[in-house]
Amino acid sequence: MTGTLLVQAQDIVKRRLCGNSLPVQLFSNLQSAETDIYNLLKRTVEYAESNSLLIIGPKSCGKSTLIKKVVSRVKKNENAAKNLLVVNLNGYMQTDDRIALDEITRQLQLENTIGDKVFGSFAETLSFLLQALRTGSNESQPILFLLEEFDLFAQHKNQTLLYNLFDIAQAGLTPLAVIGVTCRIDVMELLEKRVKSRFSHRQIFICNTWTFKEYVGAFKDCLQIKVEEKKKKAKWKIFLAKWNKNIDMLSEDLTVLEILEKQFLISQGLSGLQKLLMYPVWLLSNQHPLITPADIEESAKSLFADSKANILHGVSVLELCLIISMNHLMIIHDNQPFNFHMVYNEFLKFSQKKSHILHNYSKAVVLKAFEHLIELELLKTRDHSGIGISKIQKEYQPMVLLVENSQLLEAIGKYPGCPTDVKQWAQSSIV
Amino acid sequence: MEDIAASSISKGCFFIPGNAKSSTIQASDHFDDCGVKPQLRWKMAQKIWNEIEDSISNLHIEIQEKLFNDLVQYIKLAQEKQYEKNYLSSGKRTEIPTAALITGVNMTDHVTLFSQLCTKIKEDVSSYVAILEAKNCSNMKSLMRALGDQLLNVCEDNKKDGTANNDLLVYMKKKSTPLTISMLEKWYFKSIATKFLQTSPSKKRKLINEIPNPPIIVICQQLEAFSSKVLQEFILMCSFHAQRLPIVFVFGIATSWSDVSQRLLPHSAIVHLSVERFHAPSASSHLALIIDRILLTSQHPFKLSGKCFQLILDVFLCHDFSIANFLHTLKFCVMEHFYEQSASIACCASLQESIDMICNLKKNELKEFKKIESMKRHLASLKADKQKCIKDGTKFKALVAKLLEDLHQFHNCYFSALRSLHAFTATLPHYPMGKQIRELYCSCFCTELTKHDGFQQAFTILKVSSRDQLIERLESCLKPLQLSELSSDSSQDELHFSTACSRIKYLINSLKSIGENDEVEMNENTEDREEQLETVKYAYQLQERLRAKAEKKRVKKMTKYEKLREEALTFLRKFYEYHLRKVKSFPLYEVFYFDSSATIRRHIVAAPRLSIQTALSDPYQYLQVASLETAAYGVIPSNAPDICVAYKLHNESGNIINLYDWLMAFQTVVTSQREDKENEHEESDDVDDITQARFIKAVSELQFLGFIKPTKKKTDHVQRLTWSHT
Amino acid sequence: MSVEEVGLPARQKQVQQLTTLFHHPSHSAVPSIFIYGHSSTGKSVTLSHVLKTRKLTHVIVNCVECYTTSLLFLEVLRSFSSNEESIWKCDNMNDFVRNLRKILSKSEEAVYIVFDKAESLRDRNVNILPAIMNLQELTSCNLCVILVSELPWEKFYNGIGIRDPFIIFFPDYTKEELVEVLCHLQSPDTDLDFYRHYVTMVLAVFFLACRDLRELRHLAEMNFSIYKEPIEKGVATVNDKHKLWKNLEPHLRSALQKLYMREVSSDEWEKLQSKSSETALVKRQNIVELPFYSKFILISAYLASYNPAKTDRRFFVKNAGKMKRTAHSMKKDEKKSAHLRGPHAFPLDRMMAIFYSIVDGRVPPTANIFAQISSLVSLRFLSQIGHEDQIDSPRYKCIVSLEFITNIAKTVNFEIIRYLFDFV
Repeated sequence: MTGTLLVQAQDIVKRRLCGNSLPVQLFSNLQSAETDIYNLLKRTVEYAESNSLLIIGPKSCGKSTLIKKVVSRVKKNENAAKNLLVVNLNGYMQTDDRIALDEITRQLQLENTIGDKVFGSFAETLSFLLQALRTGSNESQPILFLLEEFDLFAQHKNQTLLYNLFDIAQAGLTPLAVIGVTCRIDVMELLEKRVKSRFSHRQIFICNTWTFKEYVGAFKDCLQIKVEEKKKKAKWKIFLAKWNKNIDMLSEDLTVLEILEKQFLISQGLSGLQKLLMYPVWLLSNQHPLITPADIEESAKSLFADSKANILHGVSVLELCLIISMNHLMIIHDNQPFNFHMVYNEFLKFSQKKSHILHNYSKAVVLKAFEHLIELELLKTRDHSGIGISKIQKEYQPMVLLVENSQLLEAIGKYPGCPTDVKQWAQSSIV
Repeated sequence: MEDIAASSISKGCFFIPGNAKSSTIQASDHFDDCGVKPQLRWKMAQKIWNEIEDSISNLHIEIQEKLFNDLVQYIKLAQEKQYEKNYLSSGKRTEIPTAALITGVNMTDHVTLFSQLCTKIKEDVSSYVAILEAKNCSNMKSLMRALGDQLLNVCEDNKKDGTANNDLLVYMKKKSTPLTISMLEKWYFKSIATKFLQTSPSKKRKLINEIPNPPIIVICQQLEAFSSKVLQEFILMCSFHAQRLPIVFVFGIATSWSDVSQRLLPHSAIVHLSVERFHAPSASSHLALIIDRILLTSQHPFKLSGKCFQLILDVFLCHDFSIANFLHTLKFCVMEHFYEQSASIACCASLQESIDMICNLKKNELKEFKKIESMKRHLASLKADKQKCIKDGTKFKALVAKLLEDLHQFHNCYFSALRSLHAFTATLPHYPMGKQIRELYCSCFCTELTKHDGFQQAFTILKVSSRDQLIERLESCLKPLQLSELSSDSSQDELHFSTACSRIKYLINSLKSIGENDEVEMNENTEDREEQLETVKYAYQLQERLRAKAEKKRVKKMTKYEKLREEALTFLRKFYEYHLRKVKSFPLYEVFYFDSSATIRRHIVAAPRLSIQTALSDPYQYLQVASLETAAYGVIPSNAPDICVAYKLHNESGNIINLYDWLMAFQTVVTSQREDKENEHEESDDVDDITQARFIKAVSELQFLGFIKPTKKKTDHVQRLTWSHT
Repeated sequence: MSVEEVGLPARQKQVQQLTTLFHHPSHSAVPSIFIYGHSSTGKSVTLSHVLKTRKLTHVIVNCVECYTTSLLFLEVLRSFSSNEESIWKCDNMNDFVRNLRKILSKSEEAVYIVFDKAESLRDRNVNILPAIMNLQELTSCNLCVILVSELPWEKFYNGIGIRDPFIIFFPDYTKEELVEVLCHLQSPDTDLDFYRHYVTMVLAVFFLACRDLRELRHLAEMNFSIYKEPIEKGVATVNDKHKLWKNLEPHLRSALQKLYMREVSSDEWEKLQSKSSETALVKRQNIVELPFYSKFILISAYLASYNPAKTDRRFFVKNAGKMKRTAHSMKKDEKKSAHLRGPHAFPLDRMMAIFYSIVDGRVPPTANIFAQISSLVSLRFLSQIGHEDQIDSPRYKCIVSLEFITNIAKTVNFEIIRYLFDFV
C-alpha cells in the first residue's frame, strides 16, 4: 500500500525535478515581475493595446514557468481573454523566418484560408494573416506572440520576423503583445537599428538570487509535498507526514548541507539542485522508501566528478607516457605547440633508458597511440583545423596539450599500477 | 612556323597508339599509298596483332587466377566465420573482414583488374558487389549514392519480382535521396527474404538455418586517392552494422599496407577492420612472363630488334610499370612494321605461306626486296655470275625463298638455344650473360657471340666449375632443348638438336659415373711416388726422378673429369655459337624484325620541351630555309623568326631579364642585315615601332609557351622560368 | 562491442544505475542523459541491453551514419512511426518536433531516443545540440534523450548555453575485468580455465600498450590457435603452461610491434593458404617497387623538401669548397631540425635540378618524366601545394617518411643520408 503512495509521491517530485509544475513558492521573489507582465497582457486584452516586452534572465530561473503561469491566469480571469490567441515560437525550432511564418499560420489555424496564395513579401503575408483573423467581427482578437530563445530570432536574415512583429505592434492596428524570452543580457545589441527603434524598450530582468538559506529552502520545497495537493486520505496524510519529516531531517543533516553548499557555490540556479536530487529520488523503491544522506552523497560524487581525470584513468601506460612527454615539452618551450616527432623523441629518451617497462615500440605503434589521444581530444591542433583536413601530415601537425600539469600529476597518482619510474619521470623531465 | 612546331609536338605528345576501332578506318587507308600490296599487309598486321593479343590475354587470365581464387576463398571464409560467431558463440562479430589487395603502382592497369575481380566474385560468391572510385566519393552523400546505386541495380538484374519492397526501393532509387547504411540494410534483408520465397520450400528449410547470407562486397579502387575523413566515417558506420550486415571490404592499394594504415586510417577506424593482405603479381614479373612466353618464341613471326626491345623495356622499367602501355607500344610497333617495311609482306607464321607470298609477287614489287639493306649486302657478296642470274625474276624469287627458309630454320632453334644458354649461365656469379633472358636476347641480336665478352667470361668461369655444379648446369641447360622437339636439319648434324641432347645426356652420365675413379688415379700415383722415393740413393738420381715425376704430373694433371669438362664446354660453345649467330648477319632479317627505334622514340617517348626548344633554337628543322641552315652555332641569323631570335637572346640572359636590354639586343640582331646607310646611324638611338611591335609579339609568345613570366621583383623585368640544361 | 543477452560482466553498477533511471516508464522521464567512457567499455551494449530487457520503446541512432541533420530526424521518426514504409518529409527542427509530437501524443509511456557517437553532433548546425537537449521541453512529450560519446560532457559546450544532462560515466575495465569479458566473449564450448590462463598471458604482454578491448580481443582471437597448436600436435598437454608460453611468446612479441597495424594475419588463414599452395604467399614486406626514375624523382623531392635551398650548391655542385661546408655547418647547427619541423614546399625547378644532378647519365626531359611526378602525387608520396591550376612553377612537398626513402634509396644504392643537411 505504501508502495502506491510512494510511487505517487515519486511521480510528483519527479515532475518537479524535470522542470514542469514546480511548486509556486520557489518563485516567491518573482512576484513583481509577474504582476508587471500580468498587467501588460491585461491591457492588451481589455483595451486592445499593443505591446512588446523582453524578459531577460539566466537559464532555468523560471522565466518560462512564469510566463505560462501569467498566461493561464489571464485566460482564467479576464472575461475578454477567452479569445486571446497565443502563438508560441521557439528559437530552436523556427530556425528561419519562412519556417516561423508557416508555424504562425499553423498555430492561428489559417492553413486553409491561406491556401496556396502567393505573396510578394513577408510583411504582406503576415498582415494578411492578421486581416484574416478579424473577419466577421470588426474588432479583432488580441494575439500574444511568445518568442522563446529570442536571441536566436535576432540571428535570422535581416531579422524580418522581429521587424514585422514590432512594426505591427507599434502601428497598433491589431492588439498584439510580443514577449521575447532570452538569457542573453546583451540581447539589445543583437537587434538591428530599424528593429530596435520599433521596440518599446520595455525589459524585465529576472534573476532568482538566493542566499544559502533560501537555497536550502528551495531544496525542501522541491522535495516536500503539500497535503492539499492530493485528495485527503488518511494513509496519504500519514505517508506525507513521514515523507516531509524525512526531508526536514535531511535539510539539517550536516553532510547534506555541506554538499548543498558546494553545489550552491558552483551554481545558484535551480537546475544544479535538480540534477543533484534526481538520482536519489529515482532510486526510491519499496525496499528503500526514504531518501538518505548517503544517496545524496552518492549522486553528488558522480555530479562533482572530474571527467578529464576519469578519461585519463582509462588510457594505457604507453599513452600516459606520451602525455607526460608532451607535458614536459610544453614546460620546456613554454607552451609552444609541438608535433608528433618531438613527442616521440622525448618519449624515446625515457623508454630507451627504462626499456624494461616499455619495450621500444615501433614508431607506427606510437603514432597510433598518439592518434588515440587526439581522438580523446586531450590535445588539439593549434589552428582548429582537424587532422584530416589540413595538408600537413599528422606527424608534423603542431599540437597543444589540453591537460594541466596538476591534473596530470593527480591522474598519475590515481592511475592503477602505474610503474614508479613513470611516476618519477612525470615529476621531473630528467630521466 | 608556330603551327608546324605545334603539329610536331602533338605528334610527339598526343599520339595514341593502338585503339583498334579508330585505327581500322584510318590505318587501312593510310596503308593505301605505298609499297607492296598495302591492303594485304594491313590485313596481315591485324591478324598477327590479334594472335599476339589473344596469347597475352590468355596469359593474363592464367596469372590472375590464383589471386582471384584466394580472394574468393577469403570472402567465403569470412562469411562462414561471421555466421558461426553470430549463431554459435556469445561474442558477435564486430570487425569487418578486409582484403587489402596490394596492386603495385602501375595504376593504368588496375581498372581492368578490378572489373574482372568484380565479375569473378559475382559468379562465385554473391551478387552484392560494388566498386567505389575516389573520384565519385568526395563526400559521404556521393559515396553512399555510388554504393547504393550499384547494389540496387545488382539486385534488379537477378530479381524478377518488381512487386516486393518496391516503394522503399523507388524512394531509395531517387538520385536526390541521401542513403544510409541502415536503409541499405533494410533493403538487403528484404531482398534476401524474397529470394527465399522464390526457392522451393524444401530448400528453404535448410537455407534458413544453414547457409549464411550472401556477403556484401565493397571494393575500393586505389585507396590512396580517397579522403581520409570520408573513409574513416564510412568504416565507422559500416562497423556499426557489422553484426547483422555481412559486409566485406576489398581495398585496392597501390603502395603498401603500412603506408595506408599509417597515413589514411586513423586509430578509431582501423580497429574495426580485420585485415588480410593479398599481393597482385608484381608488374615486372608479369612483364618478364609476357616476354618469356610471347615475345621470345618462334610462334609469332613478328619480332623486335634488340634495340627496340631494349627501348620499350626501358620505357617500362624507368617510367611506368604499366603493362597496358607496353602492349600499346608493341601494337604500335607491329603496325609500324607492316606500314613502313613493304617487304613485311613475307612476314608469315609458316615458311610455306611466306614462300607463296613471294611467288605471286610482281616484278616491280620484287624490287622492294632488292632495296633492303641486308639484301643489298648479300647480293654484293655474291659472285658475278650469280649476280647476273638474279636479274631473272624466278631465280631471284628462288633466292629469296631460300633465304627466308634459312631464317625460318634459324628461328626454329634460336629461342630454345637462347633459353638453354641462359639456363646454363644463369647461376654464374656476377651474371656475365645478364640476369634476365631478355638481356641475352638483346646482346645476341647485334653482336656475334664469339665477340661477346660476357660469353667468353662465362666460359672461363665454367672452366673451373666443380663437378656437381657442372652436372646440374648441364641438366638445366638440357631442359629447354628437350622441350623443343622441332627438327633442324643443320649442316653439321652433330649440332642437330636431337643429337646435341643425346650428347649432353651422355656427358652428364659419364660425369656422374666418374668422380671416385679419378680419386683412385690420384692416390695410386701418389703411392707409387712414395715407393720410388724410398729407393733413392744419390742426389742426382733424386733430382732426375723428381723431374721425371714433374713430367708425369703435368701429363697426369688432366684428370678424367677435367677432360670431360673440357669436352663438354667445347661442344656447348660450338653448339651455341652455331645456333645463336648474330641475327643481323642474316639477309632479309628486316622482314621479320622491326628495327627503327627512332620511330618508337619519336612516337612513344615524347619530349615536348625538347621539340619546342629545337624548334626555337634551330628553326631550320621545321622550315627548310637554306639561309637558316648555314647559321653557325651561337650566331643568330637576322632572318630567323622573331620568336627564335627572342628565345636565343633570352637563353643568354640570367634569371631575371631586363626588357629594355632585351629589346635593344633584339633590334640589333633584326636590323643587322640592313644595308642602307641612312638608318645605319639613326637605328642606334631609337627603335622603330615595327620592331617594337614584333618584339612584344615575340615576348608574349614566349610567355605563352611558358619560358618567361612577368615578375613583381623588379620593374620592367621578366622572370625566366627555364633553367638551362648545360 | 557486443555481449550475450544473459549478462554483462563488470558492468552491474551501470546496469543498475540505468534501470533505476528507466524505472516507472509512465512517470515523466529524465529529460536528458549523457553517457561517456572510453571506446569499447560497453556503453552502447549495456544501454541497448537494458532498454531491450525492460521492453521500453526506444530508438538508437548513430550520428556518424546520419551524415545530414534531416537524416537524423528521419531515422528517429521512421522508427517510431507505425508503418516503417512511410517516408516522412522533415528537414528542419520545427518539422521534427511537430512530427514527433504527432506520433508521441498517444503514448503515455516514456520514449527513449539514443544518439550514439554524439560527438559528431557538434559539427552540425550550432543550434542542433541545445535543441536536442531541450527536446522534452520543446515537444512537451514524455521522452528522454540519451547521448552516448567517448568524450566528456565539457567538450560539448559550444558558446551558447546548453542544458546540462544527467551524466553517467562508464569506467574503463580493470585487468581482471578484461579477462572476465574476454572469456565471456569466447564461444561456450571452449575450456574456460584454459582460455582464461591464455588471456592472462596475452594481457601480460599487451596491457601496458593497449587497454582497448576491441584490439585485445582481436589479438586474442588471432593467436589462440597458435597457443593451442602444440596440444593439437600432441607435443604438449593442456597443463604444461610453460611450454605453451614458450611457443606463444615470440608471436606475441612480434604482434606487439604491429599493434594497431592490423598486419598480423590470422593463423588459420595462413594454414589454409599453405595448404592450398606453397608457391605463393612469400612474406613480402612493405616495400613499394617504383619505376627507376620515379625513385630518383622521389629522392630528389625528399632532399628538396628537407634540405634548406641554400645548401644545394654544397651538396650537388661538384667540387664545392670543403672549408665552406664546415664553416656553414658550424653556424647552422641549431637549424638542423627539418626532420622535427617537417618538410618544406619546393618549386618544381629545384627538384628537377637536383634530379638531374643525382641521376647518372643524362635523361631527356620527356613527357614520361613529368607524368611520373603527377602519378607520385596521386600515390600520396608528394603533395602539391597551392591549387592545381597553377601551371608555371608549381610547388610540391614530399610526404614520405625517412625509413621509406632510405629503403628506396638503397634499391638504387644511393646513400641519401650523406645528402641530408640534418645528418651531415
